[in-house]
Amino acid sequence: MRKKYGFTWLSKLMFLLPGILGICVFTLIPFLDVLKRSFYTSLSKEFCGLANYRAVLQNQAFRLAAYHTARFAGVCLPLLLVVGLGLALAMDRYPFLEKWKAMYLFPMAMPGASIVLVWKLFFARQGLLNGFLGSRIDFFQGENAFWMLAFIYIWRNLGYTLVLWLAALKAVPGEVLEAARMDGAGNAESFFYITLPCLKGNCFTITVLSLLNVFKVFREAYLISGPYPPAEAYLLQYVFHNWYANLDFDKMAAGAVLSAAVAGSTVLLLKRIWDKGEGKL
Amino acid sequence: MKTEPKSLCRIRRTYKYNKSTILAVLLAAALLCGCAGPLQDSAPNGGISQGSSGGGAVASAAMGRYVEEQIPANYKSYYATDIFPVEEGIYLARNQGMDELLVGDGQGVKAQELLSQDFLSVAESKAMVSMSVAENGARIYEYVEGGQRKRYFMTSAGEHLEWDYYGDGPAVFWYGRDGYFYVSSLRGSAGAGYTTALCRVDVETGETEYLWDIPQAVINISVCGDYLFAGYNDGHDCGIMIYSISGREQLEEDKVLTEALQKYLEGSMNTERHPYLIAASQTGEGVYVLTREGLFRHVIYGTVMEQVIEGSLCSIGDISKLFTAMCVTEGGSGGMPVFWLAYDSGEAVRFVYNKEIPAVPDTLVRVYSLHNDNNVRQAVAGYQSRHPELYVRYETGMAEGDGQTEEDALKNLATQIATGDGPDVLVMDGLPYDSYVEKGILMDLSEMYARLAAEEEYFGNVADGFCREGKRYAIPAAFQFTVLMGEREMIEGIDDLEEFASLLEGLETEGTSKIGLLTEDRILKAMAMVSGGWVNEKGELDREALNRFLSLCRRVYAADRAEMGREEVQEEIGLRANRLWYTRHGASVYDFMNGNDLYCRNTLSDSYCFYGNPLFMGSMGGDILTELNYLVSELAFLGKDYRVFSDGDTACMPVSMLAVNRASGVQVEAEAFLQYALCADFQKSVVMNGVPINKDALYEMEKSSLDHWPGHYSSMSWNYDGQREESVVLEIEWSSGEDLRKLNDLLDGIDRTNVCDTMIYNTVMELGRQAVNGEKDVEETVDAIAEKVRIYLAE
Amino acid sequence: MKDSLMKRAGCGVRHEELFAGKGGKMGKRHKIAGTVKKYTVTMAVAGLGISFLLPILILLSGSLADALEWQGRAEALALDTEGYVDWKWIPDYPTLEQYKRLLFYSPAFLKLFWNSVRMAGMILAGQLLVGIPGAWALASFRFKGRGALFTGYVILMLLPFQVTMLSRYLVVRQLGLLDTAGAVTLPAVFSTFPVFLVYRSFRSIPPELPEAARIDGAGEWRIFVRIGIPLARGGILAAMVLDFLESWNMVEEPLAFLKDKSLWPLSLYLPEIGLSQAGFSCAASLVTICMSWFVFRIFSDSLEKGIINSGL
Repeated sequence: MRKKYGFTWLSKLMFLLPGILGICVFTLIPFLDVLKRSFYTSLSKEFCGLANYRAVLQNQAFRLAAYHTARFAGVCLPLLLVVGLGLALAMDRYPFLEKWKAMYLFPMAMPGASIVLVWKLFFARQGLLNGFLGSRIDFFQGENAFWMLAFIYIWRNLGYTLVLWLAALKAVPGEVLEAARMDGAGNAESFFYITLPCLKGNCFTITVLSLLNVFKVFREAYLISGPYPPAEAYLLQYVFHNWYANLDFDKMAAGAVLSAAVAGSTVLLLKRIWDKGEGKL
Repeated sequence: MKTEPKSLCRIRRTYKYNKSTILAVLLAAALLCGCAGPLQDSAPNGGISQGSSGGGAVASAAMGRYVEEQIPANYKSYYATDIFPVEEGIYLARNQGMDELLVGDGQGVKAQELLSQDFLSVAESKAMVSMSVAENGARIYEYVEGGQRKRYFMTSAGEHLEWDYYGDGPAVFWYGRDGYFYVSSLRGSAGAGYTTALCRVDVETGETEYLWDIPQAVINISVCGDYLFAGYNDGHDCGIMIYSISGREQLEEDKVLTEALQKYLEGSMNTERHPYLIAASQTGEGVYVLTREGLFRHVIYGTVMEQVIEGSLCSIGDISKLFTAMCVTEGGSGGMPVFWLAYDSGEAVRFVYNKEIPAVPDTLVRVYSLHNDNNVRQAVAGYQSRHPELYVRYETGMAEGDGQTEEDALKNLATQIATGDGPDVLVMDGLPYDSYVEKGILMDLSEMYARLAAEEEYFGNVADGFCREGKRYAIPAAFQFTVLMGEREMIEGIDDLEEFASLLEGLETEGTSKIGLLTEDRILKAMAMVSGGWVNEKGELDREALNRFLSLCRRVYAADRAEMGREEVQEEIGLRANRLWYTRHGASVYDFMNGNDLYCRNTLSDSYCFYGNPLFMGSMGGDILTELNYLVSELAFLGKDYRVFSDGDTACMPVSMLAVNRASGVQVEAEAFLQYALCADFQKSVVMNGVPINKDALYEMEKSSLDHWPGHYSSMSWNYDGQREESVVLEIEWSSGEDLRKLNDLLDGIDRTNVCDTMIYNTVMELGRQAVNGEKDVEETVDAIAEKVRIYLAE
Repeated sequence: MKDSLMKRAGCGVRHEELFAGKGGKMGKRHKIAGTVKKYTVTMAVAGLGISFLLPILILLSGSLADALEWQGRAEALALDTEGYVDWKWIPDYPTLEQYKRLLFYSPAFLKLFWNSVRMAGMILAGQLLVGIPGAWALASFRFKGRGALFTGYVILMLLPFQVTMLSRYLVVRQLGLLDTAGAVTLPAVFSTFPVFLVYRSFRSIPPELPEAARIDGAGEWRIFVRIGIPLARGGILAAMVLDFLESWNMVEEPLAFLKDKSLWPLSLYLPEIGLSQAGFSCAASLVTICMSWFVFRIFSDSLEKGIINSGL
């Protein structure tokens, strides 16, 4: 028994080791480097303590971007989750609808550059949508820009959200639901009291993924609006991007660490709420 | 419990060989067959040629490369039509008959005169249009006399026989080096389609044999062994057709060749200055293809274009030199072939392989610009050829047709600079100058400039715009400026945009536009060319200035269209879109030079005017003296005058702003490069985009221009719509001393440089539209612009 | 039995209250309402799905029109006049010219296509070998600091590429990988993203199974391969599909690390979207999407099966 235990310990390690090594090299080291940069000036590499953080927090552009990013995440994430869940429930209830799933996944397969072309054709002042409605709304300005961005985000990410929710729903034990129904629980009740709690873990996963994708929506938005979009669509990524191009690496690093800290604590908070089962198994 | 794991393990994977799998396999197969098997490609090219777009595979410690040698010819200034090997050496044919025989010995190449008296006597008195000469001395040529084309075939004995196979149609002659002249004649039209009739003439007997019709507009014919390559461009389509001469049939297209040459064919319809050349190798299956990127060896229907000579390292990459002919001989050192190349300037060079020197020189000087800049490209070519011990590499951040955006390129540059891998010379066009100065990236050039200015004269008024706190970090190599054209009394006294707007409002035209700008976009761009910056000294947005600017634009917009109805405006815009040359600045004098439909008769006054407009505005930004010739002649024809357009003070737009990276490891060489790019020798010998900043260079160019005065420079003819029978011919004269003096005075009067921050410029262009066409209030728009710019300035 | 089932699902539910029985409302009225509901839901789902496809239809229609027609259509957009884009779903002169040009006359496109395939393939293979076992370890092994490690994995995902680009560039340069395919594939192989995705599915496997196998003397690897993977197949396949899409559409990493254009993946091929190239660009986009679609189709069936099986 003793010998076997030692042996398995080594083979267990082999599961993790390659991954951790690689992650250390390619992800952790850059992460730490960014952290380091946040305490030094950009090109001359002088230590300046918290000066960068102060500069960033006082920086108007950063504050504006942070506010709008938070707003975007706050509005779009729940929207995405709810719509995804709704669709998944519908497909779960009526299994014949599942063949429509592929259609929702298509947007994810589209490369960014072609999305931009289509978007421009569609949303331009002389575009298809305006032609259809007979109006001349400028979708690229002001509030409209925000909603357009939100629309792009949801359009892109609904597919995989749906897939993941579906997988999660299927994992809810069917017998329990049946038993509940036999005992007379209605649809709503069985949903809220049985299904939903079982989904907590998956909800956490999907939320984190969607949060990551909030950052990824940057590429398309940037291709459409250029590096200086209207204020309402000005996300954190733009600030970082512009700082980078202007060689302000110190401010960028400080800003990134700040936003990662905020995002990180949100994630941890969610984990606490939704993923309490950690460590029990 | 024990049995569970095993039963679970029995879950087998079943692959459904359903429709989708089959379709996937089919698609994969189609893709594999459709291309020429890129998986077998081991060479780094495979259709994508390595070029001077930076970052290609840099050689290791390999030895040996081709070195360029100038050929000391006798008649250098005469355009060379052909170059081909004969028994005694290399035959260099020039269009007036000043042929030469190049004989190479151990020491180099010597040129012997080979004047053919029989031909010279004809060439002296006639205007030769096209000519080709063969090894045995036979010639076939065409000249124009009294409006008629005359063609002759001159035998090797000197007898001139009339040759009128094609009647009146134009013909172009090519020597096939296989005992025949090949003649192509273009027929047809853009509407009905072009065909080129091909025939060949035996150089011994003069017998003509009709070959076949090529169903395209052919601009270049090359004969290599049994292959005949016909390059065509009919405006929509271009490519290379391959024929077998012996079989008299068309062969399959060589896709790799076509793809490599397509972009060169697209830009050219010139049958004399070739965008590319193909020559046969004397041994083996391959052909040699010459393009701006270099010399490549290619096996017909093969997959690879193997680069033999890198264009950017020698004069091949110099865009001011246009190719006319090329040939290949064997017997060079190390068994490598020797390449002979003739340029339209009359120069000839040869490339010999030298295996002693490294394949790539040790010292690398990197010159970077965001977009392709021809001024810098020529400077790089010139500097490289003077310093073969260096490797001067020109890199552009954005190549054409990429998935990249400008910002991506900027980010890559930022990465390079931050990691110490930055380029040595930076061309600041499009780069954030002030930001870079702030970060201390650029070297202070004040000393260098002081030294240069002590020896030669420069346009200090332009160069000074780049001083920041008394130090200079960039020097422009050239600059552009805007001119306003119209009747003298009208444009005299227009000293700022206010007066300009008032002038437009006061003008009366009958249903035509006043200055031909019409759209918000073009008006904004044109006015921005001359307007002052919109950022005050503190770095904030100057709202007043912006307000004034936008209001003026709005007035100009309204005034420009005042006399036209809505449909007329739309029509005009549609018409102009196809004709005018959209530059960054909205309008260019080049529009003007083109003639053709640009002028029409003003029915009221029975005089000519631009499109019916009394005024016209454009930027002068190309070959200044040529543009001046056209400008002066055409204005004289129209009875109008020009002046530099200004808003209070006169501004110019600097281009090709050169700076040196402080962290560069080759600062001395980089500075030397700048010095070369700014010196008179260089600036007067190339065709620059814009006015050269070196005053001495400009004066030299003017002097040699004056040598031709008074004289005929060129002529233009056109007929305009609706009245096809009426055709107008305009003679373009060389500018007189007075014209040149006027230009110089105007240039000296420039007070400031208009370097506008890209972001602010783009924002004003974008959001200003609505203010100009009246959809929004000017105040509102200024607010919106300020909002947007605030973010940018706050970053 | 109910209790143990509930415990296995890990749900803490007050099932006693639920089964106290509240009496359901069943009846004929519900049947009609049920059908109506069914149709509305179908319409909603289908309608939304089709509208999601709209861009693809635009691409399809655009790719069948040649350059001249595009010029005419997009005139309003290019010249910025008052009209609207003159869109025709079926082009006046449909032509396969764009596809022909793309597939037969653009060796660059095909070369980049295979680049993409190779890159995506290598990344997926790498992730399978490295990431999945890692996820298994995190999900089912018990060791100190597991929670912290997992949290660390999640935090590391939160910095977008933008920000770490410079640092990564330095690392890649140090390793001598700049300008090789490895510069792009290796960081992606060692990304924490797939670990995170698959972790969830591994967690849903009841721990008694591997425990039992362990007691029976099976080695860790066998347990992983025979129990872990089959049971979590659905999750693994979903993760693989998502990863494939990520690597297929990668744009920023290749731009930053690959200077040599012949190494670029297909996602960077699509030319700058000038309207003159619009038709060609549409065709190129569609062909790019097709490949992804095939992957979907091939795996979607296995996906279905896997999900069903994992529910056992």
